Parts: sequence; structure tokens; C-alpha cells
Amino acid sequence: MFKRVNKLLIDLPTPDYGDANAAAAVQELLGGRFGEMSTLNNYMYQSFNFRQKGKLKPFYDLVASITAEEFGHVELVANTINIVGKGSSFTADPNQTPLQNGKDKRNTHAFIATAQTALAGDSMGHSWRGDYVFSSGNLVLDLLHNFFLECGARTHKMRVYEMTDHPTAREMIGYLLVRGGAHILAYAKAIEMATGTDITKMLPIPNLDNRVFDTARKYEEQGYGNVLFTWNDEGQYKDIRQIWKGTNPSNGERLIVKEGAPKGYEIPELDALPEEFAPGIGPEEYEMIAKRLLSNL
Amino acid sequence: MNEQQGVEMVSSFDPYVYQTLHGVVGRHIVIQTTKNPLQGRLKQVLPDHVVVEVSGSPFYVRIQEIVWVTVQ
Repeated sequence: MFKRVNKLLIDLPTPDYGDANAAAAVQELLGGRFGEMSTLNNYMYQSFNFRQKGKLKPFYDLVASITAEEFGHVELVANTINIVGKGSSFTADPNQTPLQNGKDKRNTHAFIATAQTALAGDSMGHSWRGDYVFSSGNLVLDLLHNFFLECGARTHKMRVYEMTDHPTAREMIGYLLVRGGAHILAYAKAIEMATGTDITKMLPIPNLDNRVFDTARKYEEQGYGNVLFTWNDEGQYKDIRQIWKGTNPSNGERLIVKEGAPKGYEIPELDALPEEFAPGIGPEEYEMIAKRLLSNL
Repeated sequence: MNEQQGVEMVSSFDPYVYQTLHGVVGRHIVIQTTKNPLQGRLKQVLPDHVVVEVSGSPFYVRIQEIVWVTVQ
């Protein structure tokens, strides 16, 4: 089961300007075939479906603990989309067409269906699909798939980075390039444990260092890519240290397993959008709600 | 022969936009720019740009990029 912590993995910058078309591009990193919803659901189903969890515990622990991290990545990308997506409408009477800019933005659906927030789909508005999940049950095949999935995710992040310079999008991508790099290495090491084949020699794919990206550099320098968390406070999933050991081939630094989760940062607040009737609670309704909530406590 | 030619500065000016916007300085306005709408308080109007304060941050907008303005 899962326990939820009301924190975001990084301190996302929240500038006063948005770019709805950039938010539409960032959707690919959430609900695209190589987005965070795919990494989450792949590892989640693989961990549920894992055969011989006891015998192959370090591998099970790896897939299971990374699942929890991916949940936080979905949360991070969704929050990024919500921040980047702002500033395309204005507050006015419906007859003044306050959503008029929405019809010329890439993601019209976000203006109509989600009040300018994230949707479970890709940059072209296609829904995220369950058949993006690969869970063959063959350990080596699943690990190889996960390695490939993370390399694809890294490629897409780099391309979206090249499409937008919005500070929120770039901060998120910088961080996720580093964490994604750690996951690529984790699956490469797991494949080495399972088969004796060292595929870290292929890395990085694509062949450029994370440090090329301005917002990834500080996370690299602070060693974010050398750590795997267990995402558990009861001593579970610790056997990932039988896989996550030795040094990181990209920087020669020691690989570390940390128990628990990182401390996290505040979840950004989202303003009301009266022109979208979201949340649709004005001062009068709020007063009535407060009365009901506080009565008979 | 080497004497440099003087560079002539050409500037577009929308006199009536400039004048009208002066009348709403300090008001809460929406400016539709060629890119995005901006919603905030009109702080200043100069011949070629205006300053709109949005959540405490000044945005300097070229008058040439303004499509329409409405007062809230």
C-alpha cells in the first residue's frame, strides 16, 4: 500500500507569466508513451505481477521502490503543467469571451475540460493508455524494457527542454534528467546482476551529459544522481543496495542507498480562475461552507 | 570620405492609444497582447510602452504589441 506525503520533490519556481503552448508540450512528459505516467504504471504493475518476490528480492525491491518515486514524478510534472499553463485567459463576464485565447492554443482541451490544468494525456491530447504498460513476467525482459523506457523518457525530456525556456518547465526537466539518469543506471546494474552483461558502456543515451543542460547541472553537482531512496520508513526495500552499489560511471562517485524519502518542498498553490468557474466557490458560498464545516465539531 | 552617416531613429506612435491609456492609469485593466492577455494594474504609460503590475511584478509592454485594452 501507499502512504502519501503532501510535498513536492523540488522547489519549483513560479514566475508570474505562463506559456500555454509550452504546457502543452510538457504534457508529453506526463501522459506520453515515455512520460511519467508510463514509468509509474510500468513499475507498479511489474511490482504487483512479480513472480518469486522472495527469491529475487533485490530486483523486486528495485522495481517496487522506484514505483513510489515515479508517483512523485507524475505529481511534479502535473504541477509544472499547472504553473506553466497560466496567463492565457482573463477574468471577465462570459459575454466578453474571457477564454478567447484558448481557441488558438495547442491544447484546446485544457481550456474546456481541465480548467487549464494537467490532463492524463500527451502533447497531442491523446489519452495515456494502459497498453503502454509492459509486464511480461520475464525478469530480464522487463528490466531491459525499463532501461529502454528510461532512455526514451530521457530523450523526450531533452527535446521538450529544447522547445521551451520557461523556468518552471526547465527546472522540472533538469531535475528529472538527473533522476531519470539514476534510474537508467539502476536498471543497467540490475541487468548486469541478472545476466553478467554490462550495458552501462552504452551510456549516456542520447550521447550527451546531463551537465549540458543548465538546470540539470546543480542537481548533478549535488550528487542527486548517486542516490536511490527506499521510499519506506519501516526498513523495507533495502535490498536494492545489492544492486545499487559501487560507483556511478558518469562521475566516479559512490552510489548510495538512503532509507525513507527526501524531505520535499511545499506544493505550489493554484489561483482561482473565475472565468473557468474553478473552483467555483465565491466569498458567499465559502462563508456558507465554512459554517457547515465548523458546526458540530 | 570616412565621415559616418547619421542614423535616423524611426518610432511608431499611436497618439490616441497613448492619450486614452493615460486616462486609466491606476485602474485594473486587461491588455490583450499579440501573445497573451495581461491582467493587472496599469502603473505607467510612456510613448512606446506601458507598465502593468501583475501580482507585484512589473510587465513592460510595447504599445505596438497591444491588440486591445479593457478596464475592469
